[in-house]
Amino acid sequence: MSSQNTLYKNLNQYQLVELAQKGDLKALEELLRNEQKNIFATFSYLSNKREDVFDLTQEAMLKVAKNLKNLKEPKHFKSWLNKIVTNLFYDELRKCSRRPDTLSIDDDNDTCGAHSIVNSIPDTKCKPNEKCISLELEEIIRAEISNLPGQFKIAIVLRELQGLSYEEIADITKSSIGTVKSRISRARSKLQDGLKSYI
Amino acid sequence: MENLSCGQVIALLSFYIDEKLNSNLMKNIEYHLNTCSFCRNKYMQLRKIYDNYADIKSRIEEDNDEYIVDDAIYRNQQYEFFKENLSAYIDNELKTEDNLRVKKAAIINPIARTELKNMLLFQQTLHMAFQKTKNNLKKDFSGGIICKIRDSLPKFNVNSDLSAWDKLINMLSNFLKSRGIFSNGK
Repeated sequence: MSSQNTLYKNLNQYQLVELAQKGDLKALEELLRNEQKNIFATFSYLSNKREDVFDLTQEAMLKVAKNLKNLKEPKHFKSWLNKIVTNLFYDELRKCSRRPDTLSIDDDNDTCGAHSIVNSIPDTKCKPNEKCISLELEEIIRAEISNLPGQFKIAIVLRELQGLSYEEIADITKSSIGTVKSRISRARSKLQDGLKSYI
Repeated sequence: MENLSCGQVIALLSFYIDEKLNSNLMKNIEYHLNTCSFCRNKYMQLRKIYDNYADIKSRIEEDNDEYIVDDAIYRNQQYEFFKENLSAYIDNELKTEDNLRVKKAAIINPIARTELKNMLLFQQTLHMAFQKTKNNLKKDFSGGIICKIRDSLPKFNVNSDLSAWDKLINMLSNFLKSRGIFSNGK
């Protein structure tokens, strides 16, 4: 059993997608496990509400699991995954514009990430280079990005966090490459201005 | 004319140098300095410090003016192009010739060079923040998701060698057969 699990761990994303498309649930599980942190981080930067991020992450993972067989080219997985993430975020924006703003009683918006019990348990997997950046700076950057106008933050997150090309971002956001270029450029200068005193 | 004590004059010296006192008091202090050598020496020392300070201050301002003039030279058309395309440059999304133009600007123009450095530093910080955010997820949802979609799939014999889709197709054809819609060629 354990040797089988290591086997899946050694497969690359392309191989996992191909196996999962053939109905291999173990491959699908490994694929989701590999992607969940990535999806979680993306929603953390897109959504202004901390408490929605977990729900959105699981919703996106469920969508990936259910619809993976419809993906025609396994090598376009990353772009396809981000399309799902972006569309979920658009839906969320639409929902938010209709319902009044609510505040969670369980955690107050700004401090929950930094001070919840889960975060006070030391992470043994933390690598040295991640220690260079303080928790506060990460929170500040997250807040700065999630406060950008919708299209700007989608463009900058897809570019910097997901590493997608301008062409892929243009396709996902249904806009031209020129628009993507100027959105990313403007998002960067806005963020640089906002973070001037910290970097 | 009022006679001031040495202590009073020394306490007022810096205001006297800045000419912040009323004319009457200014005259009184001047009179005292002309008559008292001790206070005059104190005054000369302080005056010297003030003059040196003013000199240094004006020289720094001059330097700054020169710097601004130099700065303006570099804010040219090439710099404008650089600024417009810097973001796409670090994403490697420029055409070859534009890529070269930006690179050239960064080599020749010190302001452009600083901006490129700042941009790369900014990008590095973002990536570190992203890495940190990723590791904030301490839960593993993957097992739960698999359970959810497994529940939505029909139940199969676990020990069978057939893959899930083959099983599904078998089930379907069995179902159709049982309804007499699909016969296996027999």
